[in-house]
Amino acid sequence: MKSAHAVVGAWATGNLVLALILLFAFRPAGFIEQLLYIWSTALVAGFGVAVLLATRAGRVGTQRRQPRRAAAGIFAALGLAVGLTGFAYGWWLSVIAFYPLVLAAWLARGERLRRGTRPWPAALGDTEPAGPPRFVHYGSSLGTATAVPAEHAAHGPPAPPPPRPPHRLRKAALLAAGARAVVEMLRRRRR
Amino acid sequence: MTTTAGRSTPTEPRPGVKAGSVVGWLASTDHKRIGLLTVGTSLVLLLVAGGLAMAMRAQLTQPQLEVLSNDLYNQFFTMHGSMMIYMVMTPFAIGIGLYLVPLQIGAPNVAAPRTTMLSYWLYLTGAVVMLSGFSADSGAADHGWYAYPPLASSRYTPGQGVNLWIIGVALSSLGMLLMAGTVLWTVLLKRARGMAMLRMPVFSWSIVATNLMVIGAFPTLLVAVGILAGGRVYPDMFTENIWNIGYQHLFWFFGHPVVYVMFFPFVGAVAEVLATFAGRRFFGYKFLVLSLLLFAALSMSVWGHHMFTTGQAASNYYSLTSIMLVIPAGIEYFDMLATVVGGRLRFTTPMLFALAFLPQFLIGGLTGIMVGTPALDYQMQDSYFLVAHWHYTLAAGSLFALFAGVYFWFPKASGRMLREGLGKAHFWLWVAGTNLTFLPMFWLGLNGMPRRIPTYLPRDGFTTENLIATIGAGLLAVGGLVFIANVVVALRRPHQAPPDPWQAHTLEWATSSPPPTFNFSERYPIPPIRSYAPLLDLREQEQSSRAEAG
Amino acid sequence: MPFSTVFDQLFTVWAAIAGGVFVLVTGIVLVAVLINRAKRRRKLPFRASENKPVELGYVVVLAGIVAALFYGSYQANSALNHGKGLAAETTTPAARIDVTAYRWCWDFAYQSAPVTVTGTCTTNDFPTVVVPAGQPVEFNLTSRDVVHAFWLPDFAAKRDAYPDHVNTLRMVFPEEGRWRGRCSEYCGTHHVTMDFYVRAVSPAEYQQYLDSGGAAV
Ligand code: HEM
Ligand SMILES: [Cu+2]
Ligand SMILES: [Cu+2]
Repeated sequence: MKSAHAVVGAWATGNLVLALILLFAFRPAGFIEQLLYIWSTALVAGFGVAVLLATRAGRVGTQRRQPRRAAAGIFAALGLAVGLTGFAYGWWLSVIAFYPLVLAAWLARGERLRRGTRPWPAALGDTEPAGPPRFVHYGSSLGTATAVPAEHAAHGPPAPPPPRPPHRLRKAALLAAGARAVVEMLRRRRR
Repeated sequence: MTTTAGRSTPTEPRPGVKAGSVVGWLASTDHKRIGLLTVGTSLVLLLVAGGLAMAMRAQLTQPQLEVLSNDLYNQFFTMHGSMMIYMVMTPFAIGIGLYLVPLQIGAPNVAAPRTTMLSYWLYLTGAVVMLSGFSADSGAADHGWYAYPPLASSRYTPGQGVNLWIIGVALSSLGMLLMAGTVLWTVLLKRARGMAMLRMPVFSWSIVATNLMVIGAFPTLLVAVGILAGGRVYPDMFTENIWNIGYQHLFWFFGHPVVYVMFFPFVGAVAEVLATFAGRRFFGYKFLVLSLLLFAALSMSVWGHHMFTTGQAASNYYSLTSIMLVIPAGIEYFDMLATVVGGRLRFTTPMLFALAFLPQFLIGGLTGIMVGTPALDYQMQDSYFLVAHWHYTLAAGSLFALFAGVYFWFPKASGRMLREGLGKAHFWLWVAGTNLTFLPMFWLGLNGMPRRIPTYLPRDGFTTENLIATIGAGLLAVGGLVFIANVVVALRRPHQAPPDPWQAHTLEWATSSPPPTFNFSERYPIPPIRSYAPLLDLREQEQSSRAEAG
Repeated sequence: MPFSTVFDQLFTVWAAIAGGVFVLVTGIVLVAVLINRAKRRRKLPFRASENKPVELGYVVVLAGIVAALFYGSYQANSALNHGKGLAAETTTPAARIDVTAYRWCWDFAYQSAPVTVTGTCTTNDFPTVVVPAGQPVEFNLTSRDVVHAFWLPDFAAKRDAYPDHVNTLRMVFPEEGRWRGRCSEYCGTHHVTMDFYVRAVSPAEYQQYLDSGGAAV
């Protein structure tokens, strides 16, 4: 993860240097400007630290565990939207917003697949069977390698039909043309 | 349901939601679907915002026309600008990253797909709320896309339009912040084996830089609109200068980085398109990556160049940082030109859009140095010169690059080829239309035409240029219709797209078109990754082994 | 130096540089498009995918360009006293005028005499502020409601007018004449007609104007 550190680190130092230039070379600069620098550098650096912690926790590399639906996201967004619209049309709207938000929170748990399960089709490129098959929850587990149905897009376009055997006439024409070409070539050589 | 090892079940084992159904799309956890929803929504809104622009151009065709009243014109430019920035270009930029980045780095999905879907819904509801201002009694917001107080306070602009604008901006920028976060998390942590950071395609790097800026800047926008919301309730707070100038600082602290959010992914797309159709490795990869990061970091320090005339910002400092942008921008141009100069060029539609991007965006960049020079900006600020400048960057630049990307990746996303003939017609209409529309505006600005005016007088001497600009806008509209026709034809009479119709370089072209649910499959595995152009590596390897054999 | 002189000089240089760069880049693209067509070329013109010395050298050149451009920008901005116009130390203004912008017109009040000028900014009722030609004039800009901007397009001079804040703009009107000024910060419905006029007269006439309490000269 060295390059990621470099990215965030260079970002933070670069902006710090610029902030110092602003402070010392271009006085008088307002305190708002300095605050903005500190705040945004903290945001980016905070994200960097979160990435760092995740790396430490080993959450790196291909992610196999996937949710199967995002209905909770819809309800959360609708709740937020209705709630915020309360700013225009009265805060009683946030009472209505309460319900989708609760629904979202309730849905959110169930949408995550159990460890080791992925929804159909189980066709991840470099997947290895992970031990004996386990309990399957709305999907196929990594251990079971569900076959992808024949016409599914994962198979790519159908193989092209084998080339048709040339028609007799065409064959003859091709032969004639080929013979011509050979004669032509021989003639040229002679010259 | 139970499955035993070794036995294959050819039927879909998942009860409930059908993958292809409407719910299957709207509640999808597939980064490709969420990405396509985001990008598709933004293209539809591009039509809306473009329609508003056409109405404005109609109003300005001749002096003293009465197509739109003052107030309606003001609503139109506000909603045109706000839609274009918050609801079209920014979501497209972040959404195309969401679609492509997991494919390009060989990940099966985005990290936290449900949060990503939440962010799409925040964006969608935000756009709907903002547009619903048109149905309010007061009409839509009409304070301009940056909503300076005290004008945007309830004292000077009463009515629901502004409230809805504030809510819409808050919702959709919160959504974009979340989406940028999950995509960046994916890039940093979820890459395939062998995909080191410095083997990521240029486009993925442009998304890294973009999303870093989003994380650094968008929270500030949320604070800024929070202040505006405060002013809706207590308009008195804006009788104090600190809140007014403070708002401007906060807003532009977001406002400049967002300009590059609407630029970087498109440069990334242009770089991929140029390299592909030049049939060569992109020139100067490492310098480009560095320059993108430098560009992004520097972009956080230039915001004061929007405030030269306020008399309340350190103008020389912001002029310095703005002019320093010449360095990363110069590197980018150098690398893109070197790729073109060192290539064998194939002129497909995406390539044409990418090539036109180069000189057209350059006009925006060069005039950007002018408005980044305080002594010139004192004249140019808030005149049509500025309008011309940013339309050259955003419309003649980013929008052209956007369409380079759309023509390039449409076959990948849909499995259908777009028609080259219609694409080229679209391209030439737009080259003519864009330059006819926006070039005369430089003269208008230098001759003293202020921006945001609904009309002018015959004696002002603005008539000819405005007439030309409106004619150009008409060509843009026709070109847009040609593009829509192209999409309709491609969907009605499909020409099937192979996995890699262009002989491109990056991983997304190694899988089927459209890619399977988890992007790569047994049939389309991730190829070995040894550089930022893995498919080119494979092709070169094949060639050399063929040369040896033959 | 006057705004417009600085503007004209710098703009000429900047436009020349921009034009040069534009011609160069567009030329390279066009030539490449002509000679690098896949039909004409069987092989890549060159295969290298990087060249560190060239690129580093180019970065140094770019840094030089940045330094030059910033020097020009800095000099010009200093000549304009960061947008305030004439430096306050060198000159005492012959006229000090308080300008108050409001939705949607202007008030002008002379500090040295009880003279005020205003109007409605509707058809043919635009305020005309009278100033002495050839002498430094100081405008003190503020606003009664929202943010406006005081713009004299013919002189390339602009300064914002804020509530609860005063911005200064000092300049010299070199000759006698009459020019249009406009509001250039969007301020609502009638922003478009928020115009005023500046009329520069000889110092004698100006004195007469003040003495007569603002009667037409
Ligand atoms: C496609 C053709 C386009 C046309 C014909 C067009 C035309 C216009 C016009 C007439 C104005 C009003 C200028 C004024 O009165 O000050 C305007 C403003 C604006 N446009 Fe466009 N535009 C186009 C595309 C775009 C694009 C692609 C973007 C950005 C991504 C964009 C962003 C803006 C913004 C931010 C404003 C300023 C709004 C404001 O003053 O608050 N435009 N455009
Ligand atoms: Cu900016
Ligand atoms: Cu105004």
